[in-house]
Amino acid sequence: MKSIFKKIHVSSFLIFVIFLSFISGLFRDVISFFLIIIIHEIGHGLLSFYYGWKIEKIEIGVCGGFITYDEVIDKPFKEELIIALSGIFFQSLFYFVMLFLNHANIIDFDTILMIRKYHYAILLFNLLPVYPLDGSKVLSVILNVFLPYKKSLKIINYVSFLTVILTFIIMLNAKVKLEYNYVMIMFFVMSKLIEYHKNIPYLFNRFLFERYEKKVRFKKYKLLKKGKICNFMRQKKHYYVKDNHYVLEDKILAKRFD
Amino acid sequence: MMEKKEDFKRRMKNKKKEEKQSSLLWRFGFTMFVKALLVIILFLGALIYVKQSDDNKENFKKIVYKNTISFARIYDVYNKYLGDVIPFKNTFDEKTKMVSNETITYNDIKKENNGYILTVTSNYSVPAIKGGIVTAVKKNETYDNLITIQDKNGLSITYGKLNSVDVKLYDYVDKGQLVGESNKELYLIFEKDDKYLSYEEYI
Repeated sequence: MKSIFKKIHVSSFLIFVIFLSFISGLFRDVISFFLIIIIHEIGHGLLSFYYGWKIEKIEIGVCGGFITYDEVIDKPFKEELIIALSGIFFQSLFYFVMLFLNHANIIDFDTILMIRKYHYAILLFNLLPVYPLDGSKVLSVILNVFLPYKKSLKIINYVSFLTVILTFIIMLNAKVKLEYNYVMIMFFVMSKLIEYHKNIPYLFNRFLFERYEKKVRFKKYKLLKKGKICNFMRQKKHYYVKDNHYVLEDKILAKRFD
Repeated sequence: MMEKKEDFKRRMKNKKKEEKQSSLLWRFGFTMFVKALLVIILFLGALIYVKQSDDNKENFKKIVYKNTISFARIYDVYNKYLGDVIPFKNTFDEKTKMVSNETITYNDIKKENNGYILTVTSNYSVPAIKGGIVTAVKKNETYDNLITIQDKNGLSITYGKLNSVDVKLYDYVDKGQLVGESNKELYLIFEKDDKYLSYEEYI
């Protein structure tokens, strides 16, 4: 557990924002904002720990945290979905606790309004279907239940870029003032998204290689569409028809990696 | 019997680990000692400075206790060029602020200590003369509740003799926002750069 702290990287921009808030007198704002973010990340971390996922790195920045795992790509859907939602869940739990404290007159009304503001802002922001955010992870799980892995990677890619452009257009139209912190958030999200875009072939290959190397056993079987390797789906073992025989996917994988 | 190569390697590795751990401990102890020494030097230095003369004592008090960072000025400058500091700060409206368009209306004004006592109506809702950050919320026998608001130009206005206070410490208030209620008498102090100013320019 001690090693968890070694894995946490705090972005220097975040430290700058905290410092700036303190010398601007925005103590209450910055504390509530980052408390919410920390609790959100604790939610992710706790559930990852519960499911035994190995965490490689936790990066905490201005729009939230980003956890990279040292795990196989093809984890059970239930685990991935629950971990993706756990951040929002814990954040909401915290919010309800605050509401209760407000009811019990321990926290006053103004503070609760501020906490409410940041809670909803971070919640809605994280639900956007853009790659590093939780919303895209939930979407990814849903897509992978029905579609091949490579196709869902590409769909997430398209949806992410589309959402970013749409948000940009909406913000321009609503004449939202262009603030430096939004620029930094956009920068962070775009850099992760572009990295993801470049990594799609690598991710697909790694997905196949994991199966080949570990010879995983899934419970469900599925007929491989057209026998094509790009139609491999997550959490399913494939077979296809060749010369009136049923052949397992191992043969295709062996052909690719031997 | 000669020990196997692997056993020898393992023994060396463990020894290295032990040595590393004990040297880490030494380094930790040493840095703690240096830090403690620095703290003691600073403390004794300050003590010696203050004991030299009464002037020094006043200076020290001023620097340590009375100075505040110009929060409002920094925030204003940053806001002008780079937008808000914390993301999502102005997404939802927190609360409806009670703001009045008028300035303080008073019947009479007379000087008292460093400030002025104004005669106002009973249960008078006091509007902030200038917008800024609340840097102090105090209470004492003579002046009941007092709040100090620091604006972006470094001017600090203290509002005293308030029965009730509607703002909290480090809240940002707008000009004209109702900050509290006072009954028949309102105490005002205008201060900038450690000088007490006259009321004429402001009300």
